[in-house]
Amino acid sequence: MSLQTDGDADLGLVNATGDSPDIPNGMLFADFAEAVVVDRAALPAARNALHDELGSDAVVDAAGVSALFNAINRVADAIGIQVENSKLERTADFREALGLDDYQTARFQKLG
Amino acid sequence: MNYDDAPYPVRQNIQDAHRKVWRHIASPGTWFDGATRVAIAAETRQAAHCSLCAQRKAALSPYTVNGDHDGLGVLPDTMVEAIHRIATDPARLTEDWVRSMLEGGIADTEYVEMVAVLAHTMCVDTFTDGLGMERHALPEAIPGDPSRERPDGAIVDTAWLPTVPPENASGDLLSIYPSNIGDAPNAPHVRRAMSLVPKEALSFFGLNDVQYLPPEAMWQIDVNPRSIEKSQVELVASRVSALNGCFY
Repeated sequence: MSLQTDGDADLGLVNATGDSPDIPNGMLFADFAEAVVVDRAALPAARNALHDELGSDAVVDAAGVSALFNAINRVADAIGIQVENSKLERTADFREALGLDDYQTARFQKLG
Repeated sequence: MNYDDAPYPVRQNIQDAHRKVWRHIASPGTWFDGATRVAIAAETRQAAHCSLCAQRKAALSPYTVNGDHDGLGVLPDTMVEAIHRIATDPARLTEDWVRSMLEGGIADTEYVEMVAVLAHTMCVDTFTDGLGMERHALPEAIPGDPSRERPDGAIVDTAWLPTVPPENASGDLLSIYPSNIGDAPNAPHVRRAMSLVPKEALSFFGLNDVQYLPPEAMWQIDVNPRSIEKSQVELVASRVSALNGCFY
């Protein structure tokens, strides 16, 4: 259950292990995010695909969110921020499903 | 700085926030003067062109590859190491590495301010990259002295470095901690991350509010100021974090 959307969603697109059929045009957004972070050669095509389907505002919003998280990820990892205990309890199931506990940055979390 | 030639119309609140961020970077900070802050921004950009960082990124462990960074020659070596590692390989930072940076001569407050300037710079640069436009020229440093004000009430509990929990916060710093908004938790730990240097935390979460979601939208399901659905916002945020290997 997402606290942001109040709905259940398959999160396979988050780590490219599957689909997220409940998220409209999820693949377009996932491809754009991936191109921004790790595959700049694919960025023009990903951006154009997003624009063709959803327009300029969607490109700007997706770029804004991508950029913000590309930065705040570094803040969290450079400062060594611990995940809140309440969040760890709520996310245990999908962390396992998505393999998040195997991340290098999970090592400094108190996963219990 | 302007977005007149951007390939897509950029919301006015993003334009305003980015101009404010460029002024913020150029201005005297809490522990660094404007020239040092602009040098940190420039070194952040330079990290992508560093051959040592590329070798470390490709290695099984970055700690097995030694050498000299392809730095700009302005900042001390320890700061260059810190900036380049955080910019290029953040998922493999460790507490021991952070301690080594502090033992190498960077004060904890300076480290936080350096991380903040790096994050502001990467946020604006990644946005322009995402739109497919040229990056903005870095700002000219504004003369003046840093304020050198360490906040009271900082403790080490939810991070490797001291942070100011909401119960110890005062003044402007209180505004980064949402309260009485929908289901808002008292203070997500990431909001505390840069609280040792309050001006940086305040500035960065100004960017957060216009590029991601403001507090009233984060904790109220039916509030969405963006053109895309919240599930799409969260997918982009999660995919970026996964690609960066960020557990938080």
